[in-house]
Amino acid sequence: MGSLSGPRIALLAAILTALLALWLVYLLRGILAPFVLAFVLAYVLTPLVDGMEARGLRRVPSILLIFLATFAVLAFGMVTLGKRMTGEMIDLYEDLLRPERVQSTITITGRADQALSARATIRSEGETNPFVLLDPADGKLFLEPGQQTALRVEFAPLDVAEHAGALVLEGLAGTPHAIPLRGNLMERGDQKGAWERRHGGARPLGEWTLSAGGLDFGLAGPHLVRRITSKTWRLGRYLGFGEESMAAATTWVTTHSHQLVDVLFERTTRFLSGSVTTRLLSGFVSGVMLLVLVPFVAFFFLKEGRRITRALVEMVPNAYFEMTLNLVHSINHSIGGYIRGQLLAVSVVAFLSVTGLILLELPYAIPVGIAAGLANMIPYLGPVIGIASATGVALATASGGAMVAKVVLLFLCIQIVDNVLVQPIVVARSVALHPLVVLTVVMMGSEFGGVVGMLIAVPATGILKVSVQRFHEGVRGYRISGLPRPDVRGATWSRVSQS
Amino acid sequence: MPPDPFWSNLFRRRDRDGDELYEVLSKVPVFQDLSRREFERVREVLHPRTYSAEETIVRAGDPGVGMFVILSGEVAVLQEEADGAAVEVATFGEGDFFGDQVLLDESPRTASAVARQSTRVVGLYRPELLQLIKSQPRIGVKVVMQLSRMAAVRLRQTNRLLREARQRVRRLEAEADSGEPADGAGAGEEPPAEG
Repeated sequence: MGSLSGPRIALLAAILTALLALWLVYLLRGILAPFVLAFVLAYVLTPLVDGMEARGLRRVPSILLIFLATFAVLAFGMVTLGKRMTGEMIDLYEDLLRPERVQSTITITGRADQALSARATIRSEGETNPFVLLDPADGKLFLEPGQQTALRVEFAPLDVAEHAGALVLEGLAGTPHAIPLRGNLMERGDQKGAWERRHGGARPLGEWTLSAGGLDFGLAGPHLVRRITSKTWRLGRYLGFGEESMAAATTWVTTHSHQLVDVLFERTTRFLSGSVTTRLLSGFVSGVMLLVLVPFVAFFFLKEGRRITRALVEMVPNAYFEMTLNLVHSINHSIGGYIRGQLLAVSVVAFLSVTGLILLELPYAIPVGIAAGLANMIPYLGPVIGIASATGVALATASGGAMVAKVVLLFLCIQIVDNVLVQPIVVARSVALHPLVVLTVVMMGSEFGGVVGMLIAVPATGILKVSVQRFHEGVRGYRISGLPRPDVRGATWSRVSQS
Repeated sequence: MPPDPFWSNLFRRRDRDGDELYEVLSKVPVFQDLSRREFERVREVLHPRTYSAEETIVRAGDPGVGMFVILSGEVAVLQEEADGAAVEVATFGEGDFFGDQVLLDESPRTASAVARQSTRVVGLYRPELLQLIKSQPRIGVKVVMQLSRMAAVRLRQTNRLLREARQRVRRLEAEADSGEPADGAGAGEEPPAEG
């Protein structure tokens, strides 16, 4: 057999074609999103369409009927829950992520006989800088003789930890002058008072005068975080902890939890604002296009899916054809079961959580419930995340203790329902992943894509595991078959006489 | 040089296949109950493949999932003897089929099939047959009925052969007891060919 016989050339051509196709996919990744979404949609709906077809309906009407039903359900949801949902989402966003802004000004009075020019910059002592110089935005100051100008500084922290910084003025009396900035100073008279005494009041600086020696912005931060902190603060005081240790603990917890949230959200935004989404939302394929394109493409995937698979499988050379065909079906079956199982579990948990939380009259019931449902995809960690977020909201808002107990009880019930009723139905869902594997992939996911990455990580790993398992099972028989194979090429064909 | 199977599968002309497929396959027991319209549905799960001379179609011991109907060409069925030599136990031509048992159970192939010349076959594979049963139960049942019927026929055949073999053994034993030499005992029964 020559080194480059027919089948080998064909194999080489096939590999080259595959590589070329992958490269093309990589180049076109920006416009792939609607196709990927359509593929997932079609994948989920295929068994429904198949089922309707088996009951005697033709394929195209079945697809259209399912599409119509889906749109109707979505529209109904929008009308009934939509307003409350968007409202809650926005509220939650504002409370959780949009910081309160506190502004303060300091005025400079120039000398009567000389024009003054200076540059103002903000310097921060911490890792994050919550101070922003609003006016003048470029930091350039120019004062006519005797004129007065105001420097406006904004304090918008994402947490309730104490922040310190400085407004640095260069060009005044030769040496740079730093005006201390403080925010979220602990609400204790002595400390705050001492700071005011040191920095308050008009202050001469060379020949010019500043209206104050420093700025204290008081308390600011995201509402929800602040509320949780003050609740815990009160609880701590009630339990008799010392103020010092309480202050230290609160600062430590808020700073670190903030850092965690900050990092996760930053990664999520980075991941989402990556080429795919940016092009998706700003480029050729706009949101409206997406709304039209996804159902359109999904329709054809649903209608022609089998034919597309078939056309692809038929390209496989004879020697691997039977094995490949079997593998494709087996993997397809398992992945389909896994995805549909996950979807069912997410829907059930999300629905129960939302309903339960609405009945308990917890604020932000819808976003928190949906988050709990999505988080449920992550084994071990998911339920904890669900309970934690709902308890956090309960702590921050409503009547405290009683609500927390109710929320915890609700989530325990939902977990029982999930584990006793949903999971046994969804057999294919139980792709057993070792806790260590779950932890590792979730961390990897957070590294790549923040919150979104964490959510995708576990199902992606599950799909991968199922595929590898099926692949292994499918190929095994062909490699180490129990029966020895006749060496057909070298065999002497002796015909057995027919009796 | 025979056409390369990879490219001929890739650039197969479909239209011409339709009628020819129906003509050949409607005579094959598995599909003979199907109307033309029903056959069109079944055609979606049939895979025409082209094998060049000497190319292996199925290999003994592999976990098989497909049966094959020969459209044109010739296929030799080989079984391995104790000494490792492959012995040809049957030859199939146009309209013949082999490997149908694996559609019903998941046993490994009991014999190999090799194309003797450039051969075109149509493959029907278990996963897709199951899918057909699910999406088109009426058609699926017709196909499965025929498969079962073939299995029944084969079982009856095997029973007959077994009965004959038993009679022969009894006769030989009787001859051995009476001390006469047993002549012609070496020629065994032909096992039914399968894929």
